[in-house]
Amino acid sequence: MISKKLSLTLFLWILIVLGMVGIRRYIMIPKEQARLLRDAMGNKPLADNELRKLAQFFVFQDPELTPRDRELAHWGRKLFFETGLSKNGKISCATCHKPELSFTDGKTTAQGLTQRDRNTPTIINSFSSFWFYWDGRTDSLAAQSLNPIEDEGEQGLTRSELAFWILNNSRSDYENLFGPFPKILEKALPFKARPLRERPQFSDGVVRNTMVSADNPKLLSEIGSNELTLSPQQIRQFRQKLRNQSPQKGDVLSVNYWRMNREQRFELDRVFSNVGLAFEAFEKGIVARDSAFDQFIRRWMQSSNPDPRVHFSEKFNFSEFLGFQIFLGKGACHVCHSGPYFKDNQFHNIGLPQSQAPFDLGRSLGVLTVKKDRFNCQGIFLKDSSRQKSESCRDLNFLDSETPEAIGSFKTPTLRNVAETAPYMRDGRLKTLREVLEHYNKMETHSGVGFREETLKPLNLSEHEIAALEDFLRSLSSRVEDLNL
Amino acid sequence: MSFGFFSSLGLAYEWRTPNFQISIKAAEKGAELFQLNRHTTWIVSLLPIEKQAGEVLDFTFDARMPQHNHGMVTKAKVIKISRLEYRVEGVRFHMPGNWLLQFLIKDKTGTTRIETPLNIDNK
Repeated sequence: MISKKLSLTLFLWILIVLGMVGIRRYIMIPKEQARLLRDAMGNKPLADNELRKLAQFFVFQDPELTPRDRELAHWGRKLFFETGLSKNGKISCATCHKPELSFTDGKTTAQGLTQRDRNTPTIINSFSSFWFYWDGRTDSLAAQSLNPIEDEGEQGLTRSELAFWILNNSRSDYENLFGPFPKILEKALPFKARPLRERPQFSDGVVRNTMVSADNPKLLSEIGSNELTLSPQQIRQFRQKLRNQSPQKGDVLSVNYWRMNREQRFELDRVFSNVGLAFEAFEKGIVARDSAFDQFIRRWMQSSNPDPRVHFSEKFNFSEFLGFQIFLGKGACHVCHSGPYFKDNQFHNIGLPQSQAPFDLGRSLGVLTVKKDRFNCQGIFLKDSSRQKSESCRDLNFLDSETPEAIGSFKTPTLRNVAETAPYMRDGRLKTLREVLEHYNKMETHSGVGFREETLKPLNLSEHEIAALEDFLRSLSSRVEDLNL
Repeated sequence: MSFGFFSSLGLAYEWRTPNFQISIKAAEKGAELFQLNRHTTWIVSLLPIEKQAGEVLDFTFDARMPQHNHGMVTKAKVIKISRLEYRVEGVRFHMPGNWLLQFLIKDKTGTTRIETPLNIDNK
């Protein structure tokens, strides 16, 4: 009897101790961190050891690359620089994503076969992204990389031309990776064939919400109303002012595609998506991870001395550290530019006016597009267990394009190598880092459409503080590495 | 009000309104109820306290961040699974900070609106 009581007591004690370990792991640390964040955002000066706790969440984590990734990346790298994958034979992925410019192009907006209306984002550290493009219209690097090839304003190649190019120029590479090239395509492949990329239409609700939120009286006067109640005709008129809402007609290329039989279409799409897998493997390995900031963080984390000054270097000194404090504190930049990749994989309306029609609704369009994307994580070509388990893939079933917060929201860009990727913002309207910081410092603009996030208030930083923040952002630059090499 | 302690232990969270006792638990065994950037499915139980409350006619859920002027990036789906239980799918708190959980319970006596603050830690 006694031994039973003893063993029960012992068992209970073990449970209590295990419970306390669990509580400490799962509750105490996040709460402590949350308190520190709140204190920092409330401008309460933090002690060195407290700052160090916050800083540990900025430690870079490398991508997981498998031997298969490395094999695919070898071909993906070749394709990335291949100008033969374009209508005029002059454009490759690297035309806009130049390695020497941290995989951007230095232009206000991208220039493919035609001038595009958005700034080229970098691809560095894109392994850590959930969504791609400024509006998140694709949910994987593989799906993203397929769009420019067929986009008539970018590379302008058709899906069947791509297959021909592989047959004639890179067949052995393809077959080494994916097995025999489909015989059914060799026999009968139309020279130019691709499906029409469907332009998803906004619901009347989105158009109405956009009109109501449009902070542009002239725009409202053009359609003859500043009333909140809008007629179907007014909604129809306004719809024409929105990006990607003009009527779409089928063309001979899509007719060619649909003339192929089901099996041919399937195999052609399979080849196309395999190309995406190769691009994805290559781009996953492109990282920028060893900046002056990273070196400082590593020294600081690994040392028993919490005093940051001991760990300063020539490139990360008092000014950069002050900038980091402002980033975490008064600037609260980390609320969106969070974690080691300095992005939150979310979409925000930061109040930039729309420069001109057609108005770009950002995430609203992205949500509609990614849900219909044949190459999304739920489609038959790019679904695998790891993709389907991702949070972004689970999001797909619950995304809402009508929600007002999606209207005019764009993806938070990474700040890694930000000093090398000018100009800035989704349309490249701000030429320098200083202009960006001045924008957030004054916040004089209002959203063209949608609602600017309420937390975005003028920072009211001094000239000295802006300079420090800029120094900190410059300290995030590092050599771009290809981990697949 | 903080839910962190209870939810991290995988326990249901409960509270009472004049007409109903509301209980939330995670549908997946061992999953945390309130976590940053993770999809969660809840089972919400609505137990009538007052006799006049009767059957729930409609139940909706939303979560907002008043300081940010936005809500979740997902639109949660509410599915009735029994007379007193609802399955809420697609709950994802995508940002750390102060959230406001909003429940609307409609019964024959009218509509009860319940708003409960929730802080999601950055972890």
